[in-house]
Amino acid sequence: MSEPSPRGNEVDTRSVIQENVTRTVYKPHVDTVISAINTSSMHYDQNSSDSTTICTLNNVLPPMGYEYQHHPPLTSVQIGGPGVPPPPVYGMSRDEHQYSPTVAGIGSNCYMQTEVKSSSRVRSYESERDYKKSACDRERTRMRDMNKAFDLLRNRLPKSKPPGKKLSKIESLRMAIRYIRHLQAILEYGPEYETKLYTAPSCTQYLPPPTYYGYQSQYGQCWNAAGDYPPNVNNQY
Amino acid sequence: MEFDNGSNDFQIQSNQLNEAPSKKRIRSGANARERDRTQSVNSAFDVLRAMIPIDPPDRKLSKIETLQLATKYISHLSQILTSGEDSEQEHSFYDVCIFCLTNKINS
Repeated sequence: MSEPSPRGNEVDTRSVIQENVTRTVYKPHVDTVISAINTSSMHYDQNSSDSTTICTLNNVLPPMGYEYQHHPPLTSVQIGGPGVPPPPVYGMSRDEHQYSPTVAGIGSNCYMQTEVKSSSRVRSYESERDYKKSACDRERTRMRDMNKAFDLLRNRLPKSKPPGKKLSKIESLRMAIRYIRHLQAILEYGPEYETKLYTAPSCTQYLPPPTYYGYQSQYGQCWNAAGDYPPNVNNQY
Repeated sequence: MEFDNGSNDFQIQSNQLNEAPSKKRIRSGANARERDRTQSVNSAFDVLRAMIPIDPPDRKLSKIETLQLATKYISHLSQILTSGEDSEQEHSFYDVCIFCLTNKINS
């Protein structure tokens, strides 16, 4: 999506496919290029030397990691011109790639982003309150994504709890450890691995030493042999 | 009449001093328990992290990365078990299983 937009003073409300956000690129009198880019890393059309991509930013909180500055709403916008370098594509840190931050409006304010240098990111907030708010939002998004990842992991694990309950975080981690070891052992020792656990102790010398993972459940042990691992007092993995 | 405010104040202060230590004890007990709980979760993350094959092997995965990669690794192992070890087909030209790739790099 790198088509140049029509020039002129009209505001082009082009919306980004993913988040229904339109961006504003604005060249103020201070001669720094202000660009608002969301994390879906839109690329400007760098081929057009008079890069006049125009879009508007509307009721959007910019993603973390970018400096931004409170700015009054814009009506017309134009960037570039011959001789002005095209606006850069922000390199993003790993974290910013992982989380697609929620785009939420804060009142009716428009937030713009100021690019000074990509290496020194200065945050200028209207107030300490705004900073804490966005820090809270970031943290909340981070935790939400982590909980989603936990849920996805739980879905891959065998069902080992009564239907209403789900595994706690520590339980799902331990169960994942146990299950991966189990799958690896099957791969290594073949499908007879399970039956070997049933047989006489002399056969177990070819198997890896059993470890008790500290997970106790009376449900859903069917995927593991009945002659289970001996319990370990220290509750190790 | 003279009020002996001095001793009253002292009484109030000493009551507050007597109550505070038990609340502090409760708080520090809860803090210690939460610390232990967090530590056990973190060490579970470490164990899980160690089981996931990755290239380069010394790269430390973040918590969310270990969760996501553990999920994918379990899918990968299940897929190998169900379809057989030699039939690690790629779904498309661009879609390579990261663990198949790591396996090829390491062997």
